[in-house]
Amino acid sequence: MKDYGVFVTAAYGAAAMIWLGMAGVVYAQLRRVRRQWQKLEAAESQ
Amino acid sequence: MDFNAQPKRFLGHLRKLLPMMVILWCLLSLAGGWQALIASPSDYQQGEAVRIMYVHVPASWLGVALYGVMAILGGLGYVLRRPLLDFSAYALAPIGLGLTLISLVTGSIWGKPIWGTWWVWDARLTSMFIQALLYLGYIALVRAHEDQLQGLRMGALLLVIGAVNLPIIKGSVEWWATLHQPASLLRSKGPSLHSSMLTPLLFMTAAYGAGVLSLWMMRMEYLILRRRVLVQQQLREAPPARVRFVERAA
Repeated sequence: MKDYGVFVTAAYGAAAMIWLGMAGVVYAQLRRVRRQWQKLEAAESQ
Repeated sequence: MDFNAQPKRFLGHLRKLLPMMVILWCLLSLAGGWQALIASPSDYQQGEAVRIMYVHVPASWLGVALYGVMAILGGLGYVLRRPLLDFSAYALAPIGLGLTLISLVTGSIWGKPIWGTWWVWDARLTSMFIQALLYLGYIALVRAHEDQLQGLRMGALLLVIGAVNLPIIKGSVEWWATLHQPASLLRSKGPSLHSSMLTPLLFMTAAYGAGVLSLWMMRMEYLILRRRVLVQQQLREAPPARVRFVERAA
């Protein structure tokens, strides 16, 4: 049986990178908009 | 719950559920990863390469399923004029695109050792590639409109029309001679996978599902808050005559 370890590693690595990339971008966008909203709310209350 | 009428309450539910969903995602990923890489056996023909199935198949299933969900949400949003249904569909779009990319990339990596090639333009691979283009086209179409609600309505039409690709993806391995193998789980004769491989596959699918829900919740909160921020900023900058228009558009 051939050694397919490099392909398994590449596939899991690619899947993990895409997942982490998606989660990172989505979380960063959410944090930014939460900060903007908090600033607006603070300005409103003053 | 009429979350269209009460986005504030809807946001409250999202914020409560999100940490639990992220924890579930992490736990299921750990359990699924252990099952897929350690507990499950290798295949008598494919050897260790069969383990690629546990990251490839859930991505393909959910990538296709999410497009179907988006088409239903978009279609309902278009007919019922409920913007939060459109937002729900739009929130899923980059997640569905990411899953379709995982499916294409891991499928290509799996194809090299098993088929001897990274890519062939057979019916299954081509229809999945078209699905990635549909996701991209939908995102581009929504972003191209200055009025986001108008963009979401146009996007919903593309979603519904593009749904014709879903039965083609499912039927592609039966209707045409393809290098891609036919379905081994979702078929009329029942699953052909042994339970030792079926269990990790279902664990990984559950992990992917929890990941999709976690990211969807974050995207929903982001889209709702961004809409509020934009409306507030427009209201501050707009002359009084435009205020009513902006309020109505929100």
